Amino acid sequence: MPPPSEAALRYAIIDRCLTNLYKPFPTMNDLKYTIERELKTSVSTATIQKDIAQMKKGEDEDGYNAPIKFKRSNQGYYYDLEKYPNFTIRSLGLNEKESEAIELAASVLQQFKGIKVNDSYNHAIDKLYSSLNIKKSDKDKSLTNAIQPEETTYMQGMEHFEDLVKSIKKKIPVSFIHYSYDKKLFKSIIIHPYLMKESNKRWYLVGYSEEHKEVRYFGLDRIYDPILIDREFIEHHGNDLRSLFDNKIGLTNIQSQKNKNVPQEIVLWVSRKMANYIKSMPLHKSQTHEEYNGYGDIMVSINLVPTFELVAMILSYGKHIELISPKWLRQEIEEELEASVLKYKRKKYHG
Amino acid sequence: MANIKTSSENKTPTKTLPGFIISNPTHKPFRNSNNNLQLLRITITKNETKVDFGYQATSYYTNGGWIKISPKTFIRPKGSTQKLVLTNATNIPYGPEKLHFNSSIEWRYFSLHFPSLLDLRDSKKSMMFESTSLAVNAIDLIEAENGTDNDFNFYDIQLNDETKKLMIY
Repeated sequence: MPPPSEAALRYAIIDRCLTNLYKPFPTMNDLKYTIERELKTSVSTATIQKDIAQMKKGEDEDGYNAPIKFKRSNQGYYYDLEKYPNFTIRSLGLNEKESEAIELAASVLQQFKGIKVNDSYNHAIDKLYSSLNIKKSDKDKSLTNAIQPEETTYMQGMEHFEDLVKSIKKKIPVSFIHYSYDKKLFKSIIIHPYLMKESNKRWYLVGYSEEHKEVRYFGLDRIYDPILIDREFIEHHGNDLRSLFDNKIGLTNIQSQKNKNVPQEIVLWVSRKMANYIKSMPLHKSQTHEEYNGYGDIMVSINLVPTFELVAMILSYGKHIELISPKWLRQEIEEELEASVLKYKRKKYHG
Repeated sequence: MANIKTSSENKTPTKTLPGFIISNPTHKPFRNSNNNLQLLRITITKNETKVDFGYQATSYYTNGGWIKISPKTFIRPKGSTQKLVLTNATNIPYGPEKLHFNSSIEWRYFSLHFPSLLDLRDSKKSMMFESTSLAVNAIDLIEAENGTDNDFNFYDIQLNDETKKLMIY
């Protein structure tokens, strides 16, 4: 996990110097000395001058609107507190515990720095770090080194993320080209976008498709060349879209299912070897379970819309999870497993 | 504007816009045998006319075959001899260079860029426009006159079907 940028750390130190009541009007040498001492690295006067200039810039230029002035008589810098009382870039006013909690959250957010979600994102994270006054010299004991979330890899189409979020916020319909992996066909789609939905580390644009005349979702990796269009926006008036996904693991309904958006009771047998894992981290929030035979096996019940992702998850547990009902889904899984076994027995690609 | 009720009509009737798109424009069927090339969208701005295509490689060819585009490709108002020749191509090489696919499940989204059809408008060329109506009702897109099934030729592409036209925001 990368630490906050050097610049953000220097801003935080400069800010602390400028708000230090015991040593007002820090000179350039004071700033240089403090930064070098805290960051344990040399820094030039020109760099600090650039930092000050950057801090003075507005938010639209990734600055802080810092009212930094230079007082000739003291040869030192200060915040113009007459115009901006109590100014500091650490304006969140958090106590130590709150700062630590935010630092933890920020370190989780750091995992997204590698993906090109938004050019402003990296800066925002740096700004958050500097606002919290997290110093690089603290990094060994910092929470940022204490946790390691899963890395997020770059997904094709993420370059459209920012524009699509903007279109959702501003309620602007979008034209884009979509490629279907299943049908192997392209379509020119007009969508009235409502939501960006993440599922299994993939992002989807959810909205009303004029082509399909219903709410659909489209994987960002299959979206090409989105263009915002000037057209009356069709609002979503049904249930809260987020609740549509509450009853699903993943997004892709199984086509053979009759009432495809209606949750069903799904009963699973779980082996004693996996039971504790499934009990301690339920497959879904609707999960209930009961002991099966007194040896540790359990019967789990979940209320879900059957999806391909659900089936994939069940299959991932191999012999330790068996779907008992509904029967039609059990049949599908059985066929899938038989085909897999057949494939393994053929050993076509065996060396 | 015939059938499309746009927000520009509701809010700012005199708003000028940067261009418009034609989504899934109708045209004469492309070849009889293969439908692996799809004409998807046309974007018309004051700077250019951009035509978006999707190509699906097929098992008909070894490893899915290849694609290229002739730099002499042009669009022509239907019934006219005036040619607007290709100015740029995105995601597809100019012939004789070819883009070879690795398998029949691969695909390619690509765009061909031509001079703006707005230059053929009746109104003042230099001004941004307030409606989507064009002087040209339909165009042909020709890679090779009297070409073969392998050439990317599309005829009678309709431009003034108001149900398919959308102003760019």
